[in-house]
Formats: sequence, C-alpha cells, structure tokens
Amino acid sequence: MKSDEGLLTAEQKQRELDVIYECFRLMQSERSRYEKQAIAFIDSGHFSTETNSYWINFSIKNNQFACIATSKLPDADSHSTFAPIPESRDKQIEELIELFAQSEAGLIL
Amino acid sequence: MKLQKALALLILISQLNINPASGSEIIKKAPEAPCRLQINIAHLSTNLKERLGIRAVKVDASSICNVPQSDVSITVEIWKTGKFQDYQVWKKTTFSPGATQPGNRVNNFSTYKYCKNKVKTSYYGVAYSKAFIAGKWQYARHVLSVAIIPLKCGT
Repeated sequence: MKSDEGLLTAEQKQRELDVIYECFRLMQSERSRYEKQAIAFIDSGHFSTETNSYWINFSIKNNQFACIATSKLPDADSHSTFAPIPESRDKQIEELIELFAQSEAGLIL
Repeated sequence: MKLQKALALLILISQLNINPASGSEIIKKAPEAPCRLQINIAHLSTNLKERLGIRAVKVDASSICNVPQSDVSITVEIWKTGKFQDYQVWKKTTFSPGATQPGNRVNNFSTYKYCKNKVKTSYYGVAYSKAFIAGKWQYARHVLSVAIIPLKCGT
C-alpha cells in the first residue's frame, strides 16, 4: 500500500491540503497572538477560546498539553488533542503554537 | 523397526494435538467482529509536500461497521521510535455524535504534526475506537500501522 493513499478520497485529500495549509498559515500569521496565549497558558495552566464552530479549552492532563474542542452544533464532530510537554519553555511555546493553530484550522472530514 | 514405528506414532499424536478439530464436524468459528478499524502507515503527505512544500507526518484511521453505531470516537496516536523507548508525538480523538448507518465510515483524518527539520525519524501510528452498538459500548482494540517507516521529518 502506498503510504498516504487508500483511506482518503480525492475530495478528502483536497480538504487535507486546505486544513493543513490553513494551520501552517495560522502558525505564521497569528504567531504573535499564539505566543501571548502560550505564555498565559503556561503561567496559569488553563486557557479558553472559541471559533465560529467550537468552544476550545486548553489544560494540562496526564502530564500532557490537552486541547478539548466542543462543537457549538449538537450534531457536529468534536475533537481533542494531546501533546507531550517539552522540557524547555521555548519548546513548550512552540508546541502550544501548533496546538492553537491546529485547533483553529479545523478537522479533515 | 520399533524405533520407526514409535517415531510414526509420535508424529501422528503431535499432528492430532496441533489440530484438535481435525476429524471432527464441530468447527467453531469465532464470531465476526461487527466493526473494522483501519489505520495507514505514518507518512508525509505527498500532496502537501509537492504542492505546498509543507512537511507534516500524518496517520489516518477509519472505522466501518456492518451494524448501526452511534457516538463513535476514534483515537489516533503518532509515535516515533527511540534508542531505549518510543515517544508519543501527537494524539487526536475525533468524536462523531449521532447515528452512523451500516457501511458508512467514520474517520479520523486529522492527526498530523509538522516537521521541524529533515532529520530521519521512524514513525508509526496506533488507533483505537469506541462506539455505542446494540445498546452497549463496544471498544476496538489497539491497531498498529503495518510498518514503521523512516521519514525525513524531525519533530
């Protein structure tokens, strides 16, 4: 099996491209906002935000960064993401920047 | 001659032990699981790499059932191998509320992690799921990617 083929349809591959590109774009264009959020989160251990579609809560669970995104629509998909916590503060900020961007970029459905 | 007969008898007995159902009409088949959880190999999306020049390691998983299911959650973990132990890189769970009809897939195609550099690293995926089927919670066991592939992707 070719590694990235098989499960996704052509339409889903396009969505994959759009979502991951959007995440990449957010990591650059929103970097300053995400850095401030990351510092606030590291200091307090908690951070909440929302997008048009989700309420998003960041916390620390089982020694991991946790992001719980709950859909505002009762029938829509929700998601949660867990990332290991790096040792250095700089790396923690980088990890959180990606976590913030992924949570705002949406899901590949 | 006696030795040969003893050897033949021994072989016969061992074959009977290996296949206890042989010669019997009663062959019990394990009940077929109502759901199938598929996971692919950890990979760099060629689509992303070629069209946008972005490198990200990604693992996809998909669940399909031959019975109605609801409240399906699928978790995908991306792991990288280490010298003394393996490390979890990223973990994502998708939750689909409501009912899913037999034959319809529920997917987790959103588990990915950007590559910080091009350091060759070996990755694999792990997937597991949970769904409400026929009035009770059913859990799919952990499924691993069939291969561990070194990728030019440091995370």
